[in-house]
Amino acid sequence: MAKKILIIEDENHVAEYLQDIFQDQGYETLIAASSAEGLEMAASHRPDLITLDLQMPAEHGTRFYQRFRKDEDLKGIPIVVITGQHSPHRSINPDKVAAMVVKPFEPGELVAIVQKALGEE
Amino acid sequence: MGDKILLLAPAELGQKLAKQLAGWGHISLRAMDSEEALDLAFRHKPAISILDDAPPGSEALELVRRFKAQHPWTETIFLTDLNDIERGARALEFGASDFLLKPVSAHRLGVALRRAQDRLVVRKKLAYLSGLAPNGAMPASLPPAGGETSRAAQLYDTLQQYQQLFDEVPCYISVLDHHFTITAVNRRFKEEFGDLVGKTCHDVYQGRCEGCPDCPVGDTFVDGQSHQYEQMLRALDGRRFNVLTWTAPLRDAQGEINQVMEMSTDITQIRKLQDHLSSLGMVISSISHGVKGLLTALDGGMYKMRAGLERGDMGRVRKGWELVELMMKRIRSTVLDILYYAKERELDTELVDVAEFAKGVALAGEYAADKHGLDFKLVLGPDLGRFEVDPNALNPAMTNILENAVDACLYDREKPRHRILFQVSREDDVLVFDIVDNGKGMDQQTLDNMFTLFFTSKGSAGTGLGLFIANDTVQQHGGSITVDSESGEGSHFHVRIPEHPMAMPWERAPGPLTSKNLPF
Repeated sequence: MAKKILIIEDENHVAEYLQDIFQDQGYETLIAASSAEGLEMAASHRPDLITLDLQMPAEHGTRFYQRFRKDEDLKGIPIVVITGQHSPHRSINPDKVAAMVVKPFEPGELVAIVQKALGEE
Repeated sequence: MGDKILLLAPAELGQKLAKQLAGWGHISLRAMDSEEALDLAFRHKPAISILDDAPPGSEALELVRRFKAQHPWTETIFLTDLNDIERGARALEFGASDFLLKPVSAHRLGVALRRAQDRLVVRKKLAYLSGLAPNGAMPASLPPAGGETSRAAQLYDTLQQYQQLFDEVPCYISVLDHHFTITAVNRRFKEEFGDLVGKTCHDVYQGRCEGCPDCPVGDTFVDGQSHQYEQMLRALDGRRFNVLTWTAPLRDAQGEINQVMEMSTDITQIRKLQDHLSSLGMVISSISHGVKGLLTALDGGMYKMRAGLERGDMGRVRKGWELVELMMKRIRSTVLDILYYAKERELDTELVDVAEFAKGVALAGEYAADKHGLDFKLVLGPDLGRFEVDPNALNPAMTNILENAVDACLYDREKPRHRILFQVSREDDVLVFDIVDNGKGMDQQTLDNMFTLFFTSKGSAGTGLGLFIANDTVQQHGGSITVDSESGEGSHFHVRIPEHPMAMPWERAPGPLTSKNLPF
């Protein structure tokens, strides 16, 4: 069965781009446009991996991350943080996430990172 | 060494006197008329002037008066006819210090010169001793005299040189006493900020009744060290100066600090440049997230196209291309905004036909409205004539407002049909542009902040530069923008531009047009 990736991204063009990349690799994708929606979908769909955009105007991605870390059921899911900033956010521990990807990124690189996080190398 | 002596006399007499003066080692400055005499005196500052009453009954007395008014430190000897003693006496009333009757013998000329030299020395000494040396009146070198008077006169000359240094150094200098009262200022200071001697510095600079905390002058009084600080000074004509000020102690004969000197350098231009650079840095870092988002979405469009081409999926290619087009358009306008902002531009105005200008702006609105199925209407009032604007700045500003109207309609999901009205009319010498839409409208927060730098209600689709620049441009033209908007109903932008770019001291609220009574 195809693995599921949850894309948390408020900018729909970027979300669609991520969706294209993952679907072309045969993954199933889900898109959440906010932290709140992301938490809901993570709980209901149990994705195999989550990509998280940090700079979302309504609610910063770190809010999702903090609640997600406290959720015993969810915190085992690997997270790939996608950010526009080169320096990681203070509230995010780089050791606790699968990878940090800086925008703009190469699709091939992102696929390699996701495959590694899913243990598919 | 002799003195510089100004000589105004007819050719023959002038020549004779000049020869005599040269024989005594003096330098003659010969003038042929009153104006030349004043000019020579201004440039050479002669110690003594000899002015002839020629031709008889001329304006020679008036010249004496003008001359003494401009050059009080020059001793003036008036030459008049033997049978006109009365006129010589009048010359004394007008400020001459002596008069001689013609024909002038060498002996009497010598006596008159010596008396003039004596008076000069005494006056210089008096001035030195009383500390009342006049500014800008630098007598030439001293006449040969011996003993005490000569030393006093030399001292006076030295004092004059320091006074000149004090006045001409390219800084603003003020001297303060223990009570922070200004006791002296240099000429440059006086020119820009007025003669503030006798006032306290905190009163003048800061508008405070009491001394300032952390006063560097106070620190210098305490530690005798030089301190440095930056402050803002307001000139007499209202201009503001950023100055960098150094303090330095001045000591009395006992070595006690009795005054402190403040020396300020004008750094306004440097500050302006710094502010501009740092705000440019702020712009760039604040839009960097938006720009990265745009680039990532552009990558997304290219990825879609490439994948479509590889698989022969034309639908995917088309979708990819549309995304690339959209992102390129956004990147383009963002880059242009940044370039506009980066350059502090002066208006480059020309006379422009208002109707043609309006049609040019409307084109952009029509294009966007057509693409998205909105109604767009351009209404041109009568007798629009021409106005003086910088079309390269004002066109993008007005276009930006129109594009915002289009966006406001696209964001609104409530109304079945969206309309935009662009109306141009003239009220005497003011051109009025009304842009009315029945789009999404604005809440109070958006209304309050719409012209603020970096404020955007469009998420990553906006940079917060567009309306900021539009408003800036309209204000540069001496115009104003007022906005009337209601959330869910629509917006009305009311732009007023004077026929000639100048300050418009008044603003007017939007007229009776509203987004609810669009006339079409």
